[in-house]
Amino acid sequence: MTGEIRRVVVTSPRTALARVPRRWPLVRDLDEQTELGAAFVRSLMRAQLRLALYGSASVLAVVGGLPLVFSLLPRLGTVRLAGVPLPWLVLALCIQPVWILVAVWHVRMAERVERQFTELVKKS
Amino acid sequence: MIVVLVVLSLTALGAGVGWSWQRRPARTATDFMVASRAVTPFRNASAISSEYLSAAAFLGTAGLVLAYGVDMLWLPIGAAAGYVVLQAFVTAPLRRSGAFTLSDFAEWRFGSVALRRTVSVCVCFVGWFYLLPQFRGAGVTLRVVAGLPVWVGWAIVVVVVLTLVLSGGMRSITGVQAFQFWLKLVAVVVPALAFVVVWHSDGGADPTRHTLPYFPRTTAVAVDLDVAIRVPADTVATVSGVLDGTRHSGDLIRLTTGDHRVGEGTRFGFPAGAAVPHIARLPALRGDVWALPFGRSRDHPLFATYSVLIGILLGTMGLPHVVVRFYTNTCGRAARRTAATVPMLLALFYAFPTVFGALGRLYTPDLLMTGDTDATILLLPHRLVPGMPGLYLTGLVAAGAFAAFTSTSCGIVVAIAGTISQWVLRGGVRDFRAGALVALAVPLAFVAWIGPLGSAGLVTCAFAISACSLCPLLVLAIWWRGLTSAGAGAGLVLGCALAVVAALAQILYGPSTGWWGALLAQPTIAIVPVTFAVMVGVSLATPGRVPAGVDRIMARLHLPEELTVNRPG
Repeated sequence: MTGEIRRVVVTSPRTALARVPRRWPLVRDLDEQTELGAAFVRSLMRAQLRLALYGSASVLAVVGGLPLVFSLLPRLGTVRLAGVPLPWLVLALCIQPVWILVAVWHVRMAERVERQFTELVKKS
Repeated sequence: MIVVLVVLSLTALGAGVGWSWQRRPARTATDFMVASRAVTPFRNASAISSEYLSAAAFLGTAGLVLAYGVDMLWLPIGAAAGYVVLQAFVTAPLRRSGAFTLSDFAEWRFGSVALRRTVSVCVCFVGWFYLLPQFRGAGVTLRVVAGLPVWVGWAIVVVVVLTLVLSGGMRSITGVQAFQFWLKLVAVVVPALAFVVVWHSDGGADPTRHTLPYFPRTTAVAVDLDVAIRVPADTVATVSGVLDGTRHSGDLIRLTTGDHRVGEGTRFGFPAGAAVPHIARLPALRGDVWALPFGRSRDHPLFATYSVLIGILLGTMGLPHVVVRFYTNTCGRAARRTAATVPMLLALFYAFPTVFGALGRLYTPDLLMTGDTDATILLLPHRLVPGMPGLYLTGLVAAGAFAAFTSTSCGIVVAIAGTISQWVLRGGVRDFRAGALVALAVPLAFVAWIGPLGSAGLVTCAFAISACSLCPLLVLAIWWRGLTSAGAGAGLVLGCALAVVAALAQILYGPSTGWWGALLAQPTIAIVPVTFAVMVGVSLATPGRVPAGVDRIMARLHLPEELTVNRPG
């Protein structure tokens, strides 16, 4: 090669960008609501909805069933434990702990679903 | 006097704690409305429980147990269960939406200003109906404890609420309310323990024995209003005032079994062991019937129980002052944890009103005659613990009661004020203050006209409105892409209108009988399915009005925060 050699100053080789893979491309899918992203959101919603339905179904079972039990078996009302009528004991002390258990179960499951979903998205 | 001092000092302490928690004065509208989103789950759960444990929970539950028995224990159960359902369906997505209020959420989800206004109207109705029992409870408390006219109680609530809300907004009241939850808990735990000890050493009489309620000792009863009473068994009493149209002045009268008319201001003196006459609207129940579930105390008890349970359970979802609290958490996960902590705190509290109701049967049966059953918890200390300790206990209970009125009222006023100020006005701090005045003025104008309904009855009206309008909106908007603004609007208008009409009929005209009366008293179970059906039906008929960006909106609602880019707020 002959002739004058032009010197070119390279200020930004952008090699770092070339070497590092795109970070969590799925996040962009989710954000831009591509077909894939929408499918992922749907699957997350389905999982969360299932948990919500399980939780509220157990609440409804107690709330719907217990009045029916007391109504159909009036003799339960006359049973006494330590001098206190059974319905009073059940209603005043035994139901609230059930709600606490359901609430704690739901938080744990919902957070697990979210964690697994996040890991899946970040890995891909 | 001591009572008033204790009440005032504890209330002042509550406010002080709130202010000291404020590290800087509230400056921006965001500070006012959502405490700049820096509240931890536990503190927020305390504040939510505090707002939730209103006059109805603090005074009303014990009063209802006294009058109607075990059937009323369903109310606390429904109230705590509401948070489980709320947490399952609403909290995390609602927090992730990043909207301030329910109205903001509706506008953001559907892009419709008309729907925003519809939601705002529903929010105002729920809030106003929720404020009525707070005023009523405050009036009853001061009348019973200090003999003051009812409007003094109303005035105190207005002054305390305005002071707290206008000076610090949500930021200050979060601190006040978190403190007030624990104040309320102490105000029921300490008296309950003391009462049980006294009751036990007193012989431990059984409230469920096979007798009608009777006066345990010579008792003077003053009837403040012109009322009909029902005497369940012949008894004698001294009467000063008008009875059945005849004026007496301290004569010994034989009260025959049946209905009697008592003039305003009449005073009775009953001997120990006399059966308690009941105000006509309350059932006179033998102890064993009172203790039985569905013990014939009301018409159609199973229907009423289901409807009130569903109403409270679903109504919790749409309470604007509770829902707005979740925006003060940092993220959806924290909001969910907050909601899961609430049932624990509520369970602690709700173990006690039952005790007061049952002891009230033994020690304050005269309330069945005056109809002031809301005052059960306030009168018990004086009846059970004589002398100074009793006075201090009364002061403690009254302070807890005022904590209940003020914390609930603060929360509702903030929610309504935020809604009104952003709807009509521009949403700045000054507009927020104007909104707070409107929020208090409307129920204050109505409180003098409400009928004999107790605080718990009044609050179930607010729950019913919320369950019939805002609950279906939230559930469908969060979980169903196909909901359109037309469908949501139609369901909201119908559900809210039906529930408000039923509530007004109930409040202004009192309870009626038969199936119609039962439906009017507890309309939720009939209206909620209608609202859901209308929302779904109209949405299916207007598929073209599904918001264009609904996929993006759903992604925002349901994705964990760390997976979303460029999230505002």
